[in-house]
Amino acid sequence: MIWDKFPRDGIPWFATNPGEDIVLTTRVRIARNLAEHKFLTRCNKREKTGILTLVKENLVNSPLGELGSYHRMQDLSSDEKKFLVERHLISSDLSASREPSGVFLLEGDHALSIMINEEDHLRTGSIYPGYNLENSFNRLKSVDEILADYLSYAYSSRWGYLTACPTNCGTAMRASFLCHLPGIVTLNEFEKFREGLILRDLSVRGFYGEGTQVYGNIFQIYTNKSLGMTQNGLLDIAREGLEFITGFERQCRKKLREELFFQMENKVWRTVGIIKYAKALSSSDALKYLSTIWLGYSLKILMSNGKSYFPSDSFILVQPTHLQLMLEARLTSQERDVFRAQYIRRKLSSEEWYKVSMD
Amino acid sequence: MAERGKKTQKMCEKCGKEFASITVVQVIGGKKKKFRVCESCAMKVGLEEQMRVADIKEKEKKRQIKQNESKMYDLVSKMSREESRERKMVCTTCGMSYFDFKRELKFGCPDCYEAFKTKIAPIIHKIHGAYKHVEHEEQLETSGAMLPELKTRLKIAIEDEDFEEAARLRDLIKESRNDLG
Ligand SMILES: [Zn+2]
Ligand SMILES: [Zn+2]
Repeated sequence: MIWDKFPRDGIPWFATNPGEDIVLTTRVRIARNLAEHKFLTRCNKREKTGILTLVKENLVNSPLGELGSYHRMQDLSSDEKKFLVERHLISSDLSASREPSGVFLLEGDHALSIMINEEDHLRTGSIYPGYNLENSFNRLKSVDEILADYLSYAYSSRWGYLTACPTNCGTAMRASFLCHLPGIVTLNEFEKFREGLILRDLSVRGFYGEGTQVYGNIFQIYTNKSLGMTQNGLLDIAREGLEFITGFERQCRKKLREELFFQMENKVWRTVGIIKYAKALSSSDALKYLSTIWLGYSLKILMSNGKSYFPSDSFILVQPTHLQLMLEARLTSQERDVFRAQYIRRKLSSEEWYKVSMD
Repeated sequence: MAERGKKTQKMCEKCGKEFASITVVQVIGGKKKKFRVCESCAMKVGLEEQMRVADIKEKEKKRQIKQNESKMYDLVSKMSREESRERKMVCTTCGMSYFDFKRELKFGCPDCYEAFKTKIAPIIHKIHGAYKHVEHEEQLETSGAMLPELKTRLKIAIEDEDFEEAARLRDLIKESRNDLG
């Protein structure tokens, strides 16, 4: 089983940096395609298998081979695929694919994956907790450089790395942040916020990528240009973008604290009541309440003896497949909701919550 | 008195049988003409006039429909000419046509970039706000020192038929010449 190697009750790369209360994760990814090969849009099954085998063999023979494991998508169970999607290690597109495709997972902290035959031949992504652009990029870069000795990529001096979709050519790189933005949402400032993102060459989408819904006020914000700048230039865009994002959200939270403190206190403590006594919680309810509790910590409405900061990996751990794996049992959806409610109580050490005294 | 009256009373200019009692205006051969007519002829003239006007309107409508049809036809044939051009613009490596690309929005192979260059250069420019890959920082547009580079880019933009970019580069070249004095 793929998750045997994954720690059960916590995600190393997702653990929030103390003090970090907006950015959950930083992810950088690059797209690559093999030279002298058609893109997947024009490959038949046999050609796709050929690409998959070629990439896999070179990967396994490279120094990376010993550092992780390769899996054919068709060999993974649907639970395993869901698990990897919940961890943001593969896309939901890849998990749904019936075409020859695969994934390489770097072991250790399980924070780097190489998707093979997704939209491009290779999609390598590196994910880090909180705001961690440099580490995330440096790890990605070192993996990319190792692989470049084994595979030759489609590249032109005019368009850079050639990708199936022209929106990705150039560096073929993208930086994205999972951001918790309850202040912007509560104050109804999202449209204004989005206009600011557009000006900074950033786009926004749901928790699990394109076309997915927003849960728990968590948004994926990513750079949307890749041509006409170096990799460093792209990192600069991401850095400046993040300054804007955190600045905007902090401004909103300040306003919540200064002008709507009573309403926020009421909301947070009502949520505490639900978390403490709920018999069952659905996944979307859980994410909504987790967001409110986290905001409670940030607005200094709530405090816990047990933990000085909010365990933000709970946003991932309360997902259906993760809960199922923790219990190592198939659960009905009601059983899962009951377990989710219990798990959140334990995870947040809710019995230790107390009110921050107002000065 | 009656006789005299009859004599002075003009006869209907249409039928000549009845006394004229009404003046009507009729358009004949595109020219307005006044007639003194009797009541029954006035009615006829009115009807004729009505029919003439209706007829003109009808004809005008038909003419417009025809015109629109031919306009539509022009558009459709222009579109299909464009479409057949786009179908004929084919990447020899993978067989994808530019028409296919427009539907799928993904290329078929790395060589498609070159095969559809004139078409996609302006599109890529719109997406990324840049027209060329930059591998090293030094390649970035800076000042007058970059004149030869700008000229190369202008040449590429013109080859690509990316005239928007060409205009921008032309201005940059002008500027950097001014900077140099
Ligand atoms: Zn008459
Ligand atoms: Zn092609």
